[in-house]
Amino acid sequence: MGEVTLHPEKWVDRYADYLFNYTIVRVNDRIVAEDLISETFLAGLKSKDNFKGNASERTWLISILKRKIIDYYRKKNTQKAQAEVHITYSDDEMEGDWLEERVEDFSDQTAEDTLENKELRLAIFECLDTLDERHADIFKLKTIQNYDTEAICNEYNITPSNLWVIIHRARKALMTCLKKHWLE
Amino acid sequence: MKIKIAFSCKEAAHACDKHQYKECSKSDRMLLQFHLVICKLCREYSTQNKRLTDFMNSSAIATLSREKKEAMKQQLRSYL
Ligand SMILES: [Zn+2]
Repeated sequence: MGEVTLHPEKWVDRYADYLFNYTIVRVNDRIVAEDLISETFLAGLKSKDNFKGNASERTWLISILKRKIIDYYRKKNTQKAQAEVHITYSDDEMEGDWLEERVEDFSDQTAEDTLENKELRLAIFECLDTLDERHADIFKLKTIQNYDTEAICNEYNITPSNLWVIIHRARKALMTCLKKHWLE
Repeated sequence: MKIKIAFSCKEAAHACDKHQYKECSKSDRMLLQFHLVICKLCREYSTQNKRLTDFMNSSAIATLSREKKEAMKQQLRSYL
């Protein structure tokens, strides 16, 4: 049927970083973000029969994650915010909407993090997605997590010159892709 | 002893990549600079490369640690 099927065994490698960046700007706490992502994966696994195959796996996981973030705020909400919810909206469905807006509109969560940067991160992820998975991992380790060349070489059983070829190709591909998605 | 006095484009690109990670030696940086003076293509590559580095830095993109990912995988596997 050409429908999308789920591959839970690949979720962490494929989506964990994306979901993490999505979450961290909304909850502004690394540990909380990590927990929410773990919960999202487990919830996804539990409800995998509900997956209709009409959205991408990532979109589907994001929709679960959004509910998790909303639940998190629901629990964490101050008395004042809760009162506000109950005054403004009468039923649970509507309360969900109110929180959903908060989750969508995350501009007040981390003031120093500009919208431009958030969009840039999304563009980077879109572009990383176009790379070979292993190359993307190596690039991320080297560039984002600042791993030593030697550590990555040991981990992936490659020589430094292999590593630099991979980095070179990844950088070139990313430059081209970002130019398309970001600069134009 | 043979002393290197000029970079090929390939060597220049390699030095430029390393430079993005502050792993380029001083002498290679000099050879790179010389090459960039004479080579427009590598100059363009260098500009783009630097821009990518700036993007990566300014975006404050974050990733989960490998340990955390491994823990998540194990947790998932136990439910599969
Ligand atoms: Zn050149």
